Amino acid sequence: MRHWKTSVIFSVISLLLLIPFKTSFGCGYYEDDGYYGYRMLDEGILEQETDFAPYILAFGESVKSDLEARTDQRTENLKEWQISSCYHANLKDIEEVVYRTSIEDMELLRRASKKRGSLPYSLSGNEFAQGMATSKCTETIDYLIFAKQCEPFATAGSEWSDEPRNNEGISSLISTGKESLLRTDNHYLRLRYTYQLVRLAHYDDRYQEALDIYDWAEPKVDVTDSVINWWLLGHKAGCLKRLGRRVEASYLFSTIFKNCMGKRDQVYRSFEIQTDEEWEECLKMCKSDEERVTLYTMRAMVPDSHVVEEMEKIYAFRPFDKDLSYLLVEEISRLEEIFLGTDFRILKKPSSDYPNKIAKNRLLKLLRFVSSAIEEKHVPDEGLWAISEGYLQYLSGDFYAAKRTYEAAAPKVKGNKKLESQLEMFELALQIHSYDKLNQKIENELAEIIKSNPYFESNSTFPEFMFDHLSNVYDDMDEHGKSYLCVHSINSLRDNPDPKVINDLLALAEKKELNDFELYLLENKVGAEYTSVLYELKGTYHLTRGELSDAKLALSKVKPSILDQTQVNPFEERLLDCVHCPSTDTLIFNKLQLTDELLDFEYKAKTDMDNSAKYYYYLGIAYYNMTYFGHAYKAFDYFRGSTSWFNMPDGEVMTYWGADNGNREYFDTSKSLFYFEKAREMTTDDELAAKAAFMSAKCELTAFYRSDAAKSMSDYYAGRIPKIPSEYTTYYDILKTKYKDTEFYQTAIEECKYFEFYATK
Amino acid sequence: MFSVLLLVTLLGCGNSEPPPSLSFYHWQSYLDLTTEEDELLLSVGTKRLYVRYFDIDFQGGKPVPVGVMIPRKGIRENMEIIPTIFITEKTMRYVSNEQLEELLDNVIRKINGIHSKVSPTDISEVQFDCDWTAGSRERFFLFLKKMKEKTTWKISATIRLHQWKYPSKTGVPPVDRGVLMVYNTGKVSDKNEENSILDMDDVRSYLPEGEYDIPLDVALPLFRWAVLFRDGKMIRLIHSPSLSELSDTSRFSKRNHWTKVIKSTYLNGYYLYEGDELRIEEIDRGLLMECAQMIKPSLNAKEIVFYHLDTTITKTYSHETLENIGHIFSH
Repeated sequence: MRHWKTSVIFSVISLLLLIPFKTSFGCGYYEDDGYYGYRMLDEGILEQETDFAPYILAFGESVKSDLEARTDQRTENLKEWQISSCYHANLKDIEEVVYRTSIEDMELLRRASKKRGSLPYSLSGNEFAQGMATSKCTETIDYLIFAKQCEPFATAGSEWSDEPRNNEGISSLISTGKESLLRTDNHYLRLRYTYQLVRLAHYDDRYQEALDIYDWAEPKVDVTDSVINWWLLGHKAGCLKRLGRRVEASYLFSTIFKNCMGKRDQVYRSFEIQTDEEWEECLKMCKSDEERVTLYTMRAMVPDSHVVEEMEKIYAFRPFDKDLSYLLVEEISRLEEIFLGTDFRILKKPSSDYPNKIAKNRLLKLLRFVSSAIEEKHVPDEGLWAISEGYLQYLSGDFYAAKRTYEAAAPKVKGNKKLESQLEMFELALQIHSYDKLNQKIENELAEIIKSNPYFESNSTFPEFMFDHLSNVYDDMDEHGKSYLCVHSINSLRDNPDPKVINDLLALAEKKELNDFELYLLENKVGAEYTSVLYELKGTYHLTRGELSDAKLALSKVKPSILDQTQVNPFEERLLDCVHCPSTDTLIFNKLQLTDELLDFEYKAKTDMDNSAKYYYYLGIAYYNMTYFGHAYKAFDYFRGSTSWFNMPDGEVMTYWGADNGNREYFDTSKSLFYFEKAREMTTDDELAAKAAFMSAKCELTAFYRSDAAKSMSDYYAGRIPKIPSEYTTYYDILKTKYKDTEFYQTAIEECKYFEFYATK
Repeated sequence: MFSVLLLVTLLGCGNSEPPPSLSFYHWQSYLDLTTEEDELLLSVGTKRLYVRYFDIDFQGGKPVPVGVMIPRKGIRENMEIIPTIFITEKTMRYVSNEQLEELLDNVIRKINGIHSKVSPTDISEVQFDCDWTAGSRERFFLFLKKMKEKTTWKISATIRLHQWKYPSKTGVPPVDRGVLMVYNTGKVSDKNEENSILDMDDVRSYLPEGEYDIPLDVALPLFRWAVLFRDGKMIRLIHSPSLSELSDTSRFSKRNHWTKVIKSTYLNGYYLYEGDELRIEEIDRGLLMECAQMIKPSLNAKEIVFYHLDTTITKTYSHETLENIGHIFSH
């Protein structure tokens, strides 16, 4: 008992704060980019055909990362060396020589290639080095030495570094490089020299000099099929842009975008058109319709662009261009975010502004364009466009048209596994979404989908999509239990019990024959012992309301293994509240035993008049301890929220992260107050009356906590005893005036700081 | 003794306070003042220019400088440059204690490096601009405190209106002085907003009841932007759109403060589609005066910093207008 002498408020608050928050059981689906909704479109639908698609698809971040890993400049460079150098070695050994070998070791390699020494130790066993030495690739080795000398001037240091570049060193290297280029017979190495020289000048902000070097070297180099050409062009474009020749630069960037995957991201960001005139000028620079298409595609890639407008322009002069398919998929994915996004449930009952008129028009515009292109038989990929038309019809709400289009599209996608699979996914979404009534037959189909349909597993958003829609349909059919389980778990129901849902679920659980879907819902959302679990919840619900006969009836149907999961003794008296302090009493009850005991006490309180007051007192103790404030709160509550304490004036149902329908707390101590009053009324023992009055005062204090007056309890939050309005201290006053001479009064004064404060104020 | 006090009192009674000095923020990628910009600085007697040197963002798990300003042309010798650094809130939320120490050294080195290319005089003051929140305040204030300890610079910080109004909740930064940013008062993405740059009702609601714990100067807006709405949603801001372009009736149709795109077109490098809507927001002379008059009684500004210096403002605001704003604060 000694530890209770410390301030009760600190112990209560600190213990409350130790309780962890709930984890989320939220429905719907979040993507890393913040999109919350459903996706039926497979993000990899185009990937197999080209590496271009991921740069367009808004949702293709993961694919894009993979692609970047495969196509970074280093990898491209190594592959180039493998193909174009004088000795064809494996990539690992090439990488060692190109990126990790020192200039000193390269000099030794050079000597070895001239039979003037042996290979450096670091390169012994390196196939590429050995090959170059034996094949006397001195031009290659000379170039690699030069490239390593250039590297410090071409690589960025720390972002924070502000050291000036060594301009003299750069000038000297440019001069040496030019001489080396002229001495080199190998055109591929000449190209690499040119790249190094232009890059050096570019990075040293000598833009015009870089362009001059480019023009000087160009006639001296005859290599057309190297990726280095695109890198070189990138530097030229960069210099042009710096010199204000933005349109020329943008045109070059667009050609690099089309042809050089490793640079695509970079040049896309550098592409810049300021005015209509510049755009026209850039279009005029294009040498083919294909190049013009790239310009429109790049413009369409801007987030929030009106893709269909760009598609119409592309279609006008190059209807079969593959970019149209990429843009189509891009726009569908954007529309999907609108029509199957966060507000999917609203889609069912459209409000005036969702999906808004503008979004609908955008969808219909694309649908008209797609339908018209299909009709004209001018589409780059008949199967993709056919299923896209159906999906757009579905998104527009025309399920009938979508179904017919899908049926007609099936032969067109035959043999293309990705498209076949995509069509199946679209059809499945349509099938689910078309259900506006559910019956035994459909539920069997649903069970089959859950059991064996691959998309239930492979599409991470599909299960949420399906259950969200089914929940709506069940709701319309007044099957609230099934509706609830489609989107919530039993924990949500425990957090805030709804008798309508509990009874509906019990009726379902006790059905003679459950179909597989019903069984799935009960077993997966409630648990294998679903009947017992539901009766336990029903019994607890009645217990919280003091409906003991109903509670007993329900709890008597619960298996002992479930019942015994909660063991409390609410009859244990504690002068001070400490919800998590261990019990000193060995007597414990499960909820059924507790209900029996409460019924027995109620009976005895009414019939055993000699002990009536005592029974009333203990009933009061039990009901107090089962509320939020007592150590036996688990009898009422499955989850006691720590921060609920601070929001008591707001009501009993608290918003809680992870509690879908809120978390109900049991703050009401009026039933226990009633019993304490009865006890005081019936007793002739001043000690018992004093205890009852003290407990009544605690009940009154909880009433204050729940009142609006408590909203500004700055003292309380600061860890001080709050000043309580006099209407909430009537029982403390009674205790002071009537029971001052009792032993209990003295004990209470000693042990309860609150009471001491109020008694002496 | 008495006569000295009397003299001071008498002198004090006779004169109104001198008008605050007028300065500008320079918030562009290149420091390359045009003749018009330079003339405006001269005409209003600007002695201090707050030049954004770089931003600090948190990328790849560490704070990095981004948008580093490139000096292209020198500044008049008698112009004091105040290096100004914008720090994203995210940076101060995520930076670790170890990174903070390194960041301080990096920032000092970077500022010195840029400053040596911009001005021959030593740095006297550096300003940090960060819209701190409860989650980043502690770290940002520590950063400011340590910056002051590590350098001889005066340190100033920008103060948002809500921070001015609720100092006990938001905290007061440990700096020598603050500059109250009286702009961006509204919700720019709200289509019903008329002018999110400066709404007098919003400003009124932020007027504080008590004194602020550090001396405060004031920053007033001198900019124009177009808020682009597409498909009913705000998607971007277009800074300093050309009014002459917007008056091209073959591409734009104007109604009140809204401009509708009637033919897809480029504007300031952004491609606009037919049907797009632009809300043109700018600050006229009257609004600027009204704002100055409203906030004047609540703070004793010694300096007014206009945000921000570019060629478009030289055509919109005369030096008399700017001087008159200064005079409002002197009465």
